[in-house]
Amino acid sequence: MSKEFKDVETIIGSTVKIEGNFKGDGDVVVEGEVAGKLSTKKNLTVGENAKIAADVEAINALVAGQIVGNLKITESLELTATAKITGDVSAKILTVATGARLDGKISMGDSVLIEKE
Amino acid sequence: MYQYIYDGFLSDKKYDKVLTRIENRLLDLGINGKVNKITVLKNFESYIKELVDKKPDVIIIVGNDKTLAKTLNIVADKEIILGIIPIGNENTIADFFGISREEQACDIIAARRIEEIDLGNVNGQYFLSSVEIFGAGTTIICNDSYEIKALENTEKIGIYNLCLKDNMEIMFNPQDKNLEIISTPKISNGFFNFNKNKPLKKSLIRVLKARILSSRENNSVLVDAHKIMKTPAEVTVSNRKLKIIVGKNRKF
Repeated sequence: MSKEFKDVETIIGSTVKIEGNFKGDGDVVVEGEVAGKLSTKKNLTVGENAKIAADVEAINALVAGQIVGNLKITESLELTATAKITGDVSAKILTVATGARLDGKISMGDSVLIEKE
Repeated sequence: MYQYIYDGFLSDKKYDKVLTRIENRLLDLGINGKVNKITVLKNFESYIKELVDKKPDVIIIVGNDKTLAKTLNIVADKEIILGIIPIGNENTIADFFGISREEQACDIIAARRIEEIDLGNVNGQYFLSSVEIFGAGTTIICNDSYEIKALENTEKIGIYNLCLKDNMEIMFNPQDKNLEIISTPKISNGFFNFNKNKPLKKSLIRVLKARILSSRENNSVLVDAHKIMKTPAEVTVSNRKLKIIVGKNRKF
């Protein structure tokens, strides 16, 4: 497999839009548009230009783009400076960079750690 | 017994020497068999069908990718082992299977290293490598649960069982029962190409089945780079496997 795709199960590039119930088994990278529901059993990376209008589930997530929908992250969620989230978020670990926007409720269970940059 | 099928283009005299070298090498290795030469007077498909009905254990096709493509749908449903002796430049499939050209392929045939390969199925026809549709606006329904829509900046979308093109730098496992959908972006050569330092990424999505609907510009798909079929196209991985003799240098 090429270096471009190595270790990544799915890349939703900027040339496509996904509509419906997308379920991934491996790591998922979103650079394009998704509408509906997005879930993966592994890690999710949302690129700076990505637009997601969907409820999202993943083990870990790194978000630099836009999400309108609820995020249910089992372990760690990191929002970069360009991230825009409109929806409720649940994660064990939450990292929010300066400039990130988060409009919604945050739920972190019992083992809570919030880091701010 | 080995049955050898020579494609019609090999009747050109310029191939006489190489065919002689191949036949001599097969004789040396003790794997010579019946030679069936296709001529312009014989229909390739009906000739192969007659041959397959005699239930040979091994069929060796001597030719190129097109020879293999023409043979595939006839042998795929049978318990036949397929071998390739590639001649000429259009042999990307033989390259993928690690089969050297011309008489060097005879040693690979003699070694009989056999692999079972997934076969794709598009509208009831088998394919080996790809089903491609060109142009923006294509919709592909995947696993009956979501749709992929190709946006304006899409050059083509391909559904691959195995991928042969070196320029895509992708080699997928043809034994995993998955299909890979790859969306390739348009390359802009315009003066105002603001993204030239940051090329758009291809998309890669693995599916079990897909249904290709027409794009705005196109209502046909290209199968294994040579056969055209109309949309909608139902694409799956078949339960049948192709038994094929491969070389040590195969790319999977």
